[in-house]
Amino acid sequence: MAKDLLEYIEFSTLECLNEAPNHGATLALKQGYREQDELYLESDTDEQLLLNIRFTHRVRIQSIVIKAIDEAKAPKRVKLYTNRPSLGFSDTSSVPCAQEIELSPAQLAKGDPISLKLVKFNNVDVLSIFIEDNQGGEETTKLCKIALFGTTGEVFNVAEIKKVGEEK
Amino acid sequence: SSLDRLSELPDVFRRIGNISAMECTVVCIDNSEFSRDGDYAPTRFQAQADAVNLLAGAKTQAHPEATVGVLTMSGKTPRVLVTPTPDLGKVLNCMTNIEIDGECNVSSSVQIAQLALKHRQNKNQRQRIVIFVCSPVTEDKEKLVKIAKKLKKNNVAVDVVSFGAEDENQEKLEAFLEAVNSSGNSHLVTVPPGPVLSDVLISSPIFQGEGGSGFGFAGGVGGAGGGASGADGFEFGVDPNMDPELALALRVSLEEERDRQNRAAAAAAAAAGAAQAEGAGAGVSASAAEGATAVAGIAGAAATPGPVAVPGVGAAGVSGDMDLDEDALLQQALAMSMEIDNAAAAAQEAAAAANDVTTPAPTAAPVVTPGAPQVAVAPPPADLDVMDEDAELQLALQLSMQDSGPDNKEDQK
Repeated sequence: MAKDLLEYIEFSTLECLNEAPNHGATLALKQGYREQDELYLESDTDEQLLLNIRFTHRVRIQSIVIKAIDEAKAPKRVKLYTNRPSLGFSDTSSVPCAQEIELSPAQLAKGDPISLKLVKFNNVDVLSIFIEDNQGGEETTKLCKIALFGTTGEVFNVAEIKKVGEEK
Repeated sequence: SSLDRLSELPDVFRRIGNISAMECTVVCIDNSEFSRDGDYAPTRFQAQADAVNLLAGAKTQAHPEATVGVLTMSGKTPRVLVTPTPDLGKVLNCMTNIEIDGECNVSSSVQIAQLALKHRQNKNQRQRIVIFVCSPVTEDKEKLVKIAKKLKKNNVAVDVVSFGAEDENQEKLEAFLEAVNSSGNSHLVTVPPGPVLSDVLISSPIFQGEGGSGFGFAGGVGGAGGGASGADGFEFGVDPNMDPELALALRVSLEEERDRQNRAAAAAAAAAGAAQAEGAGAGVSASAAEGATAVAGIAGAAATPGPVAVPGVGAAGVSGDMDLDEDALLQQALAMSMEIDNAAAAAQEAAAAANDVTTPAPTAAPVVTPGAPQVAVAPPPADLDVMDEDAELQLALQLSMQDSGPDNKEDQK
């Protein structure tokens, strides 16, 4: 039942800290751009990236896809935060994250969806994706696609949870 | 003083155009002992205060939700005098209570400014720090670059106004700017002694915002190849629909300028100027080939060559080289001035008409610029209550019909 949450992403307020000029977050998020591997998001002054994504509707996020073809520069540790508007780099050490993910090269190459803890991502208005480092310890991090899947229904359908699968 | 000039703001502001983005700006003031120096009238500090008042006014008028904060960089520790506020009165008020003391601590100041920005009430506002520097920067270049990178990483733009200690600080500040600049959002304006600090700034990208629309042509008329402000929607920062005569005059003057530059390219030994100016950020219109632009540059204070309204900027990297070339440039300028009527005269005289009909200024530049770049007499009159652009242009065109060319080089320098 999970669908692509792309249409609920508010691009006007999208913010990506430390993105390189010409290699911004829209290239990884937007329809058309994210399918093209040559159009990628890359970090600028160092290897970290912080995306703050606001949604037009309150969403429930069930899984995330991150695809990267440059193995060494692909993201490694990713921390997700919910409902912290304008999160900054300095906040990431003090604010508790909703979930921490360590990506494997296999997941990155194929763009496998990674399931998220349902409870933590139930009512999300703002999602922050903090990419802490990359696979090869490179100076910059590159990725070509970020996609989010979930639902926007307000109705809490227990039956639906069973269909999606167990919570981790 | 600046308070009187505030009443001119709506006018200045209308002509400057929009400072597009809604911003939270923290202004860092150099209130060190060095600011007592009278090389910028009446003192470096006071010139700075005037400029800050005008800047705060311009920013708060540009956007109803824009906020401005102030902090002092010298003294025991940097202090935030006003946290970012939309209330211009608070800003003006705090400027009167500042004490001159000690030396600046740029790195702490910037950190504190960053913190103040972080805690801004409206998170949708973009973040900007404006730093005034009139004393030698003690931090070394590497440290400044590191600070700059952190700012860039956190999406903070920085404008630096360097005056009083420009030569010593030039290299460090340029490195700083290059590291913090992201797609032309940051600028370095260097102001030599002579012109009124505020005047120079008003016509600089610091007031005009990123790729300022409307009259943002200090950035737009980058005839010297220094690069026009990248984000300009219109060729000269002037909407041809709004002001076709001015747009045309600018285009013609630009063509003329280009011709001259090509011819004078050989003589322009200070091509270093171009490189330097590059470092000053995309938003700042550089003055590369001084040769041709000598005509423009001769007027105004530091013989800053440059077809644009920001002589201070041109001086940025060029001060050393310029002295050597000045004579050569003067010769050239004289030679060129003998040439047949060029439409540049129109634009130039339009600018001149603003100040003094009898000594048309050679700047092929914006009418907007008040005193600073136009008349060689120091300090140039800050003549903001000029006539309507259309009237100026009419007058200019008439004058250019009469003369065969501006023969007024002896008036400058």
